Amino acid sequence: MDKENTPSIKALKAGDRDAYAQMVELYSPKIYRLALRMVDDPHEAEDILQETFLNAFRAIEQFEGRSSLGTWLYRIAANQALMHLRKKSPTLVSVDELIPSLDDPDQKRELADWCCLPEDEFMTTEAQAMLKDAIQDLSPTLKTVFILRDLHHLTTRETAQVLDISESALKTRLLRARLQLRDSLSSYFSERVKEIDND
Amino acid sequence: MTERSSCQDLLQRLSAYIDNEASKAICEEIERHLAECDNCRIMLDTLRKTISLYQIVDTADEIPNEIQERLLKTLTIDDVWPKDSSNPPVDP
Repeated sequence: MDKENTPSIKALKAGDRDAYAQMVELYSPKIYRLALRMVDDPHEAEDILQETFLNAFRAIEQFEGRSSLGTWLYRIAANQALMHLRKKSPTLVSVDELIPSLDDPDQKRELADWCCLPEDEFMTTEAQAMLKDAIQDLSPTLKTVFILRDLHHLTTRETAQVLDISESALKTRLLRARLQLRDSLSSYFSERVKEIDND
Repeated sequence: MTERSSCQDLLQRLSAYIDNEASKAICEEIERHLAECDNCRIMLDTLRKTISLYQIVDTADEIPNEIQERLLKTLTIDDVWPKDSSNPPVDP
């Protein structure tokens, strides 16, 4: 995560407004994108962005530096986003830790290899909409893990710190999220392979 | 070890393998298995492709100017916004 241009924690704790501005300049684009990826709604993402920095300004006195400033902000933002998602869909809070088994009937069949599709096939409006739907279909916790780890490129340790879970639990959830997305994409792109073969 | 349990082991280790977090010994074991198991090779290729598709279409960490402006006003730091910022607030 960014180490350059990180404002001084001492200045932030002293209420230095220039340091606050520096923190906002450095992290607001990342926090906004995280929120937008999580809730898929620009208005709600803006609310999360504002709540994140308001909460951070209020709580900076308690920041102990056990994680980086960026990780701490991501943690506030992820919690805000999860609260928004849970308000919208209160039943979507469970985390399924199970990894799909290759003994499952679905996994025993031969898998379709859709990587060979022409690149244009992945960029159509329909394919892009399907990608978006698939990520929004993940449970809030799995979605958070995938976004932080694979789209924001946080390390395993940083992502575990953001979510306050063990690295081992994080790895399990990441695999679960990736496999669920792969399954969703496979359903769509395998059909495209068949359609192209039949043409 | 049966082929099926081998496939299950590989599935459990796929993320670590993709992220280069698996040990050398485990990588070698996975690669031996992949050389003989088409289903697992396809699973790995399509999983990698899935991740890369999301990364290709979603790269920019950008924030619209008007959202940045409203944030600075809410936080009452719009007057100290860095003058050399690449994304400065615009006066109304």
